[in-house]
Amino acid sequence: MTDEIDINETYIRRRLLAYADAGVREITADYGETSQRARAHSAPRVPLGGLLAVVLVLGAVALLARAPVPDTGSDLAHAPASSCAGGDWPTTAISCGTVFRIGNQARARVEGARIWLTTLGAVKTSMHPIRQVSEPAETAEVWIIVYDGFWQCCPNAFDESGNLIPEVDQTRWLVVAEATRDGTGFVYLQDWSGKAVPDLLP
Amino acid sequence: MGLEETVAQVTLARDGDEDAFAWIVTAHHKDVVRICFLVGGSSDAAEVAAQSTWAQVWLRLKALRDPTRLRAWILAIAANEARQHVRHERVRRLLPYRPSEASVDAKPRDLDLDTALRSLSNDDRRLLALRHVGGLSSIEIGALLRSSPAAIRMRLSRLHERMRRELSDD
Repeated sequence: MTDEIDINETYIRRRLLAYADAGVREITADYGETSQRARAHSAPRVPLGGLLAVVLVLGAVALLARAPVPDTGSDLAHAPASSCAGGDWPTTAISCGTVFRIGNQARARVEGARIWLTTLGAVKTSMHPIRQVSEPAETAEVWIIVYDGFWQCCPNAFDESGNLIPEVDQTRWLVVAEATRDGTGFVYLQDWSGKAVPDLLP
Repeated sequence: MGLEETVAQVTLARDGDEDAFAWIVTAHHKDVVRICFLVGGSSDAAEVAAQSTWAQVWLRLKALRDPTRLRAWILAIAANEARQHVRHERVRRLLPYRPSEASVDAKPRDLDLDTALRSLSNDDRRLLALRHVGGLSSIEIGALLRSSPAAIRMRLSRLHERMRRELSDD
């Protein structure tokens, strides 16, 4: 910090730092545990219900071998599902539910969702989202979820330069995450208020 | 903790290196908790917000374009997480924000500073925390909050004056 604001600066800083140090009852000393908990908190979780659903789906697939399996790599366009349970998805390394939780965060009021399992290239061609991270190949299989509702403030969203975006009222927001890799697969989380959403995606 | 090492650790952590992420946590956790305490107003809030901060950092590390700005980026996330926590608690309790009984620390607190901070908005506490605990310049804060450095300096100056009036001398 190089720019001194005024003559009160040093005094206020000293009081605030002492206050913060005295008030924090205990600062977690085990940083390894803290980082482990953080990773666990943000890592994909597979609930028992999810496992049961996977078993049931696999069983159904075995019994109905003639049933068509979605070909997400094809050029055929699909209408979105309105929920993870409402889609006929193949099993993916990162589940629809895991990605859904990225966008359905605390304090968000979700009134509707449109979900596809498609390729990153299809998302970019149809919707032109702002690049946020080092992106995978356009052939990468991704979950895309468009939420409608209300989310005040998009905490910790980022603009094209990686800067934090101040909180805003959103009525539509977009989440895209890779479906086939370990981790969260995060690609986009963007304010989509007022922007169009395609009816169909490949 | 040089910039080169920071950039190297961020690069590793982005690729999922758990030791590199632990290195980042170790380097910044104390300031994260301090900022969460100042903005959140209690030890309980600070602990929750700090843990949430690290989850966000792990999740979004790839979105950080310039690893040399890691510290400012993390501290801004911490301030936002604490602010979110306060808002959420207010809604949940439908009461003016006060720390829970369990969160009041056994040791005596700086009561006049405590009172002065509680009279400020969440945004003002966040600003003070980023400036004085985070040690960020008005330029850095302005970039994070999408405001001009001059506007940040003006807000801080007014806050300092107000705080100084309300605080008794040592």
